[in-house]
Amino acid sequence: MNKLAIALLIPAFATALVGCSSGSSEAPIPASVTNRYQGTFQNTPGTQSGSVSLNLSEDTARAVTGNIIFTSDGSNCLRNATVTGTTTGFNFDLTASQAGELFTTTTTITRTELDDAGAEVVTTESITVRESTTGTVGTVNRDLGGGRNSSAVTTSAGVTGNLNMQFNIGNNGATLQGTYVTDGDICSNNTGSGVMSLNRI
Amino acid sequence: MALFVVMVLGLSVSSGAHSENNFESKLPKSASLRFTLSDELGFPQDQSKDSFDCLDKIYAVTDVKGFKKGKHIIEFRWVDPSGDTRERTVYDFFVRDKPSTKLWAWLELSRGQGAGVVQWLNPAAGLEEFIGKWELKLLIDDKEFKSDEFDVNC
Repeated sequence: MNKLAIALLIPAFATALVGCSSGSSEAPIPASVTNRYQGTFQNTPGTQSGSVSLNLSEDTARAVTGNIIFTSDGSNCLRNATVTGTTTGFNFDLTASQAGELFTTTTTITRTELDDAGAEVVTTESITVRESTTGTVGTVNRDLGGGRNSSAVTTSAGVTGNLNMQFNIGNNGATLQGTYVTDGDICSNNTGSGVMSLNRI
Repeated sequence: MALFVVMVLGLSVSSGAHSENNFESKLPKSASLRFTLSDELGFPQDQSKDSFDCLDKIYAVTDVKGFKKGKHIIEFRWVDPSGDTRERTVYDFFVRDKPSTKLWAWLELSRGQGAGVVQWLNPAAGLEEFIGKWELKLLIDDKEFKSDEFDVNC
């Protein structure tokens, strides 16, 4: 087969392929959120994250009830709660009361050294603040060795407010992606807003 | 005379009830319509567009106002460049206490099988039928309420 024949055959073959193939379109309808979902949350400052699960039931009036459970990677001001909400097409609003006790643990690590005159000089190496919905009020001191000490002071305060979530219902109800924001004094220093992403399980 | 008074009273009561029942429906009904792409979470973006690439996920967004509280049906009718209804997105929604209800639907186009082999020759391969001016008709409770057009190019 000469080169000219090949050059003619390739476009002909391509044209035949395209001619045989018709495009397709997709425009789905919103799906029910009556399901169990599991995924992750991450707050905007990047200081709080972990896993989150939702167990939801939606009725014929598009009202949703269920519960939300958090498993934190560390600090977390969000608590397990019952949820209520509504779906409007692909838009899903969900609210959870977050009233309860918030425990704040401030851990300070210090280093003690002797200066040239033999006097003790205490230097603060780090201060970390951890929020939790469970805990025990009190102080825990530890000797870390090498002149280093840690002091963890846990206090608690009653907080009130709601966790408000807004999701997009995607992939025929298989995914919920959205944002959350807390009101009241549930979380401190802008730690109570971020994104959530869940998959149906 | 007594019969006349009863008739007049009955008419006025009937008229009053009719006005009250229709009070909510007399509020101006409105529905905006715009097209856009999605953000990273799958929500429609705030910025509107009227021209899309063949493989874009095209969002039609409406804000519905002035409808009675309760259940309604919305239809997004996607009419392709040949004038045929290509897709219909129909679902029920509830008007609640909010002043407006935001609703959306999306359309995604994909090339036919086999066309992928030759898309390096022609980026529009298998998508030719989608290129051109599309129309979206917005129907609420089976009544056409709004329509608008957008372009698809490859």
